[in-house]
Amino acid sequence: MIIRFESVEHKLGDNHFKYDFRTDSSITGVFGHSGAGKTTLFNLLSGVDTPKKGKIKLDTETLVDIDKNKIIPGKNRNIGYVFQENHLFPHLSVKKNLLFSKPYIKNKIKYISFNDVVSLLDIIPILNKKPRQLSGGERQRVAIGRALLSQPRLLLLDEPFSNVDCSKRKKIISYLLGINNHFQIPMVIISHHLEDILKLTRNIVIIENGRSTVSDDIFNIIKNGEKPELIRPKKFQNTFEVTFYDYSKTESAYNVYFNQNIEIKISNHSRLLNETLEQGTRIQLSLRPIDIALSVEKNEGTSIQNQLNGKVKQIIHNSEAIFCVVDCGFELFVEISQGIINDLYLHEGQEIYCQIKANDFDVVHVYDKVDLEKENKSLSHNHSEEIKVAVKS
Amino acid sequence: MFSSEEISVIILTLKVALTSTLVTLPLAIWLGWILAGKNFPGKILVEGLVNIPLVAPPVVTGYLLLVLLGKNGIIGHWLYETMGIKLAFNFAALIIASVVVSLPLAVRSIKSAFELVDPNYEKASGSLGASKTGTFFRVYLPLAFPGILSGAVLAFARSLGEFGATISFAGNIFGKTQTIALNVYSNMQIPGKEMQVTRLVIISLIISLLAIIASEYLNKKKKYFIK
Repeated sequence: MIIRFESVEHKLGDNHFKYDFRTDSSITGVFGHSGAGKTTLFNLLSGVDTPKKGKIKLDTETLVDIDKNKIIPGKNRNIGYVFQENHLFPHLSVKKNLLFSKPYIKNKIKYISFNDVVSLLDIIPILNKKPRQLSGGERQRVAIGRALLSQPRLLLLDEPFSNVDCSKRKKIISYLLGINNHFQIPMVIISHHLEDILKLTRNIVIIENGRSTVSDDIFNIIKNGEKPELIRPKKFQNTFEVTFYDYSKTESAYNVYFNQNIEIKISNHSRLLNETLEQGTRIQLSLRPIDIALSVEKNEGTSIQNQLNGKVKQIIHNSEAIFCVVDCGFELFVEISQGIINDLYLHEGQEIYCQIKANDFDVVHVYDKVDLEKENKSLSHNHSEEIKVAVKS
Repeated sequence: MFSSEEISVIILTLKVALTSTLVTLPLAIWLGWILAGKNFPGKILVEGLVNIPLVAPPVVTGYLLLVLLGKNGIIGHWLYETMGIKLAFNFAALIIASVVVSLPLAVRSIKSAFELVDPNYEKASGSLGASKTGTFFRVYLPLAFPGILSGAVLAFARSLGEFGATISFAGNIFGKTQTIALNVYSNMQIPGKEMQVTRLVIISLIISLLAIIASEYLNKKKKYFIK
């Protein structure tokens, strides 16, 4: 789905907002500091608010065109909105909250079923509870489920991780990837935590002081040297998808493959992994640039289980850090120092080994085998660009 | 225990209080809703008119009703001439006087209940496809329900104790417009009627106390409910 903001301007009190960007990713992250204007962007897209100037389009449909005085009301836009504070109706049970949109979806194509939503989001045990009896994470899941059941064509999530603690955060990220994959629903996610966004997608829109300044793949943003002050190395993540092959008891490691030929060993103690995983299961991994070491030759007698061979593609100096982009069949961003460049005589085109400990990988999501089958089916019937993006990114 | 005279007075009073509450409630919900909402031209005027009976002496309110709706009143005369409708000194007059004096109390309670509802629920409801009417019935009304109920209890209690406007506009006609308050007032001045006065005063106190307890309970529930 293509989302376009064309010269959109808005004013709230003394604050001016200006958005001009285009994104067509299956998941788009909206990143910016608190108060930068991220929620205002969502309010304009969902129809909660109307801009003073400009156009907003979804694919070929114009939602707002101020010059032509065209404004589609929010309730007719078919966009699901998960608010930062959830706004679950306190007088209704979880089940009734989830089914709130039922009278309004009579003429819509129902592609998201109640049973799928409650099982994917683990809501079944809390269906009869009232919102005030739920934890932050549970509330967040119910709000996501409620928005999904309005059968939206696009899902907006405003800071879905803000009211949940760190371990629940990982869970929500995993749920979101599951939903995106299972229902093939495009999502836009606001967060001021770049590392959370990057576990979900590489495509981000940056909002600063009420303006959209960049909309691109994070790798391109760094390569182009844009916004170094916003993209700090500790917040940065390499994220990629691999396929499970087998579990090695002797090494207590899971053998996975990138693109069926690059073998990687992971031993993350994540609850998402277990020995009964089926061969071919897709796993989303993330890896911090500061957790990768470089060496010019393969080391023998080391406890490091992954030594990925690759070539230095680019060395990027910015005000915050130095990154070395290594092509090992897929691109890896490695954080280095000037000392390392001098010691290893690092230069573009040089052959290098990326040393990664098996438990430095973070398992972000393990896709359902069912989803894979469903997806293969839909891929063989539908060769649209959008679905390919959803699978590959 | 009670004489037939007392029983008829108690029944008439309860009938008036119940009927006037039923008439007041939809009016108060509508007024509470528009007064709790966005500003509109004349909002202060509407608010003022609704609240006048709260500050004006009830006798004045009754007098104004008589001037407007009495047989020779501005509107009352026209109603009598064209449709033969009489609004003063009968059961209708009891209801009208009761509604006018209890309306501000009910409106205040209901308005504040609507104001307490987080407007973000309206955003959420809209994003799920609900229209403004749908949001009113499915979100605002249930969330304000304890406040509406407590407004109804206040209206009921106010109507039970109504005296000034009633005596001016509906009169003090035994068997027709004489409620507990009017009966107590009349019998206070007749020697030997002390026991009847005491019995009706006690009944009146019990009903009022029950109404206040109910209102307090619902108010507490409202705060808990909306959290």
